[in-house]
Amino acid sequence: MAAKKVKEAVAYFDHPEQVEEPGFYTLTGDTETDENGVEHESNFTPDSLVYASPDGEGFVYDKPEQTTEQATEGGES
Amino acid sequence: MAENFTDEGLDRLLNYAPGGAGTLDTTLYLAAITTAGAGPLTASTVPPRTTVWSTGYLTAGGEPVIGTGAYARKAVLNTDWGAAATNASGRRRTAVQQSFAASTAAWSNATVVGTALATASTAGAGVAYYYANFDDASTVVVNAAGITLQVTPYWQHDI
Repeated sequence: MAAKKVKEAVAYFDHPEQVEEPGFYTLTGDTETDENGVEHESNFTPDSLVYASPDGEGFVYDKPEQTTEQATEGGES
Repeated sequence: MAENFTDEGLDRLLNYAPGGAGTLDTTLYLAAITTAGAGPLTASTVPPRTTVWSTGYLTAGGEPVIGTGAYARKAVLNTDWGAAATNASGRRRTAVQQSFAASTAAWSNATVVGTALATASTAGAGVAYYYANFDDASTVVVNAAGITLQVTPYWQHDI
């Protein structure tokens, strides 16, 4: 049976003040609309831990069984 | 390299002061901008200041699709930012280094030229305050699994 895909917005959190475990989280909170009609996530907080889907598309609720080797690249922006 | 505030971001700041309105952002989100952005974007160009991030994140910013290859915007907490300090002709705050999640496959737009600092985790919402290339004018190609994009964001107001 295929894993259930997450439909909510997801972001990556790793700050110990916000989450116990670094990872992808759905978010919860209120939205506000500014004077230009733009919707803002007003102090959304992480809600449920979710996982990258093994098929490389989207996120799933259940932790997949997999390991990946990691390399690191980057710079300042 | 290039960096600039956006009109919509400045509007939001001006709404706080002197406007005295709006809800402060305690968490911001880093988004990758890539060569898929209009221009196309390069290691020394960023989206124009007039870009509306909620509709232009893909076309102007070339942001990778959230969820593909485990790309997601990276939350930056307000306590991640260091104290303001003088830098050249302005004042700057620099955040601790931020790591996106390691890729699990190639990102949909793989050649990253910098980042946007936005108010929303969700594609299609919020505004971007600031766009910046990498300081060393490099690109980072996330074209496979196991690559972690790390950036040290800063925010500077010039006099």
